[in-house]
This record gives sequence, C-alpha cells and structure tokens, in this order.
Amino acid sequence: MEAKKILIIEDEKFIGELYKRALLQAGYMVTVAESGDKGLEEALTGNFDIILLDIMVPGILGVDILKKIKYEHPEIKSKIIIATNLEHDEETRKSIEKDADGYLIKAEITPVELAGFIDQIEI
Amino acid sequence: MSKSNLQQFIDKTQSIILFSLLLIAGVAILAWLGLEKYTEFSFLVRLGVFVTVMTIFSLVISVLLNKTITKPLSFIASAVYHVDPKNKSASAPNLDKIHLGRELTSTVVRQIYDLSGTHTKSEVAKNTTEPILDLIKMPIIGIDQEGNIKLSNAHASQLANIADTVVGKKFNEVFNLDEAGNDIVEWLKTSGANQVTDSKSWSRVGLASKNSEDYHYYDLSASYSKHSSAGTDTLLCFFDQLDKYSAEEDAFSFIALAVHELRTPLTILRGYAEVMEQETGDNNELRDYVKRMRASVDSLSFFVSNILHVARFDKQELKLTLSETNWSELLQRVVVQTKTRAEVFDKKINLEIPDNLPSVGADPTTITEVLVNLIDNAIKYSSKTTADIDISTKLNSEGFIETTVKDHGEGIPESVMPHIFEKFSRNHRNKVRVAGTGLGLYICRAIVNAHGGVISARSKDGSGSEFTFTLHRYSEVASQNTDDQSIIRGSHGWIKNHRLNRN
Repeated sequence: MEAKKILIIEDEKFIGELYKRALLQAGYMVTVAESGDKGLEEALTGNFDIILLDIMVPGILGVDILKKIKYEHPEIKSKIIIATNLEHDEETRKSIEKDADGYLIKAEITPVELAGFIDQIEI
Repeated sequence: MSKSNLQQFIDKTQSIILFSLLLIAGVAILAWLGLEKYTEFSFLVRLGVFVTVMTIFSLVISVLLNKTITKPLSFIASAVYHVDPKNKSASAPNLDKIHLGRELTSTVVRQIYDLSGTHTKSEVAKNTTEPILDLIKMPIIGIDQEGNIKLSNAHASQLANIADTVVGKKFNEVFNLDEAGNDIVEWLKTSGANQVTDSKSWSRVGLASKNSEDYHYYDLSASYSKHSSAGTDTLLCFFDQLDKYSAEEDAFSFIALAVHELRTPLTILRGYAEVMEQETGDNNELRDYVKRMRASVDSLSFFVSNILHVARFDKQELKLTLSETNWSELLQRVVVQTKTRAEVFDKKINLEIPDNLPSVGADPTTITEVLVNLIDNAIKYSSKTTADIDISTKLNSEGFIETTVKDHGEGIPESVMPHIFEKFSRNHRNKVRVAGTGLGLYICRAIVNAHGGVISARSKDGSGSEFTFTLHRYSEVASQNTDDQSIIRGSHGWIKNHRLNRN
C-alpha cells in the first residue's frame, strides 16, 4: 500500500522537524510548509491525504486556510487536522468544529502520540 | 377564567369537607370503642369524656378546614388591597404559599392586576417618566409578556443603533443578548407563568444591537410585576460595568497569550525529550534523567492548563461539552499519562475498576484535568512514603459514578480542611517544601460542579488524604447532550467520524 501523504503547515522550525521525524518513522510521506501562503499553495497542488494545520502561522492564518480549502476548493479532499497551542474564542471554536476533521493541542501530546492520533484518521 | 379551574376548586373543597366528616366520624367510633374497652368508667363518665374529646377534636378540624378553604379568598383580598393606591404598605400575595385552588386564585389575582393596570394607565405619568429615564446613562427597557418593548430610554435606543426609539419593536428584533440571555428568557417565562411580582439580578450580561456580537457588558437587574402601568410587565435595568469587565477581558487576553507562548516551548521540550528517550539505548542513568525531564514538562503543561481553565471559569466561560465517555478507558489512559511522573517519585498507581461500569456523561478534556490534578497532589503530598496511590471507582447507591483518589501521605491538617477547595488555598505546612499554586483543587471543584457532580475530601493528619467526586451516568444526562455526535472527543483533542482510542 502506498504511504499516506501528509502536509505539515507549521512555522515553528523545531516542532515541524519533530513532527516530520515521528511521521516519517510511522511510514508517512511528509512535506513541511513554514508559512500560511506556502502551505496553501502546497495544499492545493500536492494531493495530500492529511493536512496538519497550525493556526498562528505567518501569512494566511490557519483558520482562513481551512475555510479556503473547504469552501473555495471543494475538490481538495484532504483531511484537515488543526494542531494548535492557541485558545480560541467561541466563534472560532465552532468554525473549527464545523470545518476541520480533527483538533489537538500540541503542547499536550508528543510527536509519537501525534502519529498515533493521525493513524486513526480514515482516509 | 377557565370553568374547569372553578369546578376543580369546588370538587377539591367538597372532598376535603367529606374527608373531614369521615375523619370525625371515624375518630368518634374509635374513641367510644376505646373508652368502652380500656376504661372502667361508668356510662355517664364515658359519655362526658367522649363529648369533651370530640368537641375539642371537631373544633380543631373546623378551624383547619376554615383556614384552608378561605385561604384563596384572603389572597384575592390581599391582591385587591395591593392594587389600591391608598394602601401603600400592602404587599403582593405570594402565590407559592397557596395549595388549594392555586390555579383559580392565580387566575383571579391576575385578572385583578390586569383590570387595575388598565384603569391606572396614566399618559401623564408616562410622559413625565420618559424624559427622566433619558437622563439616566444606562439602558432601561420595559417589555411586556410577549417581549414587545413598551418603554425605553434614549441610551437603550442608542445601543440598538436606532435613530428614534425602540418602543413598539420586539426586544429580540433590536437587541442581542449573549449566552446569559438563555437564563434570562427562562426566568421571564417562569415569572410570567407563576408570579405576580418577582425580581432577579445577573452579573456580566452581554448586550449588543441586533446582528452584532460587539457586546457591552452590564450587570442586569430585572423586575417583573403584573401591576405595572403602560403594559410593561418587566423592567430591565442594565448597569454599565465596562471598566470592571474590560479589565477582566484584558487580563484574560494576557493569560491566553501567555498560555500560547508557554505552550510552544513546552511542545518542543516534550518532543525532544521523547527523541532523547528513544536514543538513549541501554543507558539507564540517562533514561532516568530524561524521564524526570518529561515528568517536569507534564507538570508545567498541567499547570498551564490549570491557569487557563481558572481564568475561563472566573470569566464564566468554562464551557463543557458533555459526551458519552467510557470511564474505565479514560481512567486507564490518565494512569498511563501520569505514570512517568509517579515513577519519578517512586510511586505506583493502583487502579480498581468494577466490571460493567456504566459510561459517564463527561467532558473528557476537563475531567482529565480533575484526575491529573488529584493524582498530582497525591504524588506530591506522599513523597516521603513508599506507599502506593489508590484510585477506585464504583456505581454508588445513589446512582452516581463515584471515583476516589487516595494517598497514604502526610494528610491535611484539620484547620486547613474547610478551605482546601478555595482559590489560592494551600496546605500551609507544605507551602515551602511542596510546589503548587493553590489553583488545582479550586478548578477541580469548579469542573466537577459544572458536570453536576460533587467533590469532597477526607483526611487525617499524618494518615493520608482521600478525594472523592461523583459524575452522572451518561443515561442520566443523555437528553441534555447537545454535542455533535459525529465528533469523538478525547482529553487533548477530537476527531470527526473516527474511533479515537487515545487522547
């Protein structure tokens, strides 16, 4: 079976590296984008199975990337997991619950646990 | 007035009279038979005793009967006195205190107030009141039972962004209330249905113009009265608390920002600690060091979550999403999660779970925080002993799922016990030796109470402590669950439409 493709949109270099390492070890094909703009470009062209999306990234914010993919590019079928350390207001929380396929707080899980979390997502 | 109310009242009254007569007859027969069997009095003495006892008993029954049957009349009379402007000291009848003929009396009393209100409406009074209201720099709005605005001042119209007046419009067509509004609407319904007069206050109520979420925060005082003029049933006075609540808002924004900034390095530390653990090979000493590092990262991470949840709770924004939670699985996950920290302090956590434990209605994220806090405390306050930490759970006799975290440490002094769930309360003896903030048990109680459960503590100085909390079975709260069923929630996140075995 072909390895699943994951795009990590994460501006914190070390976090991106740690996640990439754990997901490679778990057998995924991994691409990391360090800005919102670069991430959106990759998301629209890279045919990813899963997108791990941080909210606070330079350029286009994570929540806006989520909306753009879901509403302006319905042809993109990637599962989108929000991985954030930010606390959201009620409105953002509802919007994430409506549009995203998963949500996790980065500070509370390890990269290996993240890989386990992603393993449970049915593509 | 409904005829059925009147008929119901007549039927009940007749039943009470019949019951009283039967009671007197029954008592008379028993008294006579009793006197015959158990006394050796002559017939005349027996007759004398019998007549005396029955006279007193009948009198008591008559007084009670009279009081019960005429009570509705006295309530109606009180309402008539109350609406009479000359009787300034008269108070409105409290319909909660009436049992016989409640519906009938409520209907008659309401009609008295309605009729009185119609006759006492005074345009002169209204015209002199409104300019005075405009001088008051807070929104004042009067509404009728249907939510139509009958009275308002200029400040309220400005807030609604309406040039002339909001009078004549429906409240919910021109204003938005934040989530506190649900409680207010519920109160309005209850007061309208059951009370003649009522009042209530709420703190931190967000009010904005329709289609805006730019809330201004007020303390709200509402007074409901059927006897008010110009058709206004409820007067809503919004006391401006901008200074107080905007300061709280700034404090919360700062905390949210600080939490974000703290979590980023924590994520990195947690990640590299895991990498180091994988790379240490057989070097047990190094493995132990890394374990200690991970335990500290866990502690700091829980501490950050505590701060955030306390801030949310204090701002009345701690939101729980109750869902069906497999309590055995969640307990086992929390034990795994806290294992590293326990091992660092040479502690073992024992978990006792009975078979067939029903699922609970819980918010996995916050209830995990309760368990982690209790376990963390148990570890901290029993560090001098080698005894284990025992966690047990059961379905208690009242039908709640009861969970206990027990340590065999130093216990809590009696003088400290009444304050342990208060904010910033700490076991003073350990203040210097054991790290802590005094927020853990405070947020535990807030979270457990928000779940509809209770938390309690038992401790004996020198013999350890025992913390017990209860949760509802899911079947008890299933009807209140408004959560999106397609989302499977875990302690640190959620997944849509997938099975979530961890987190």
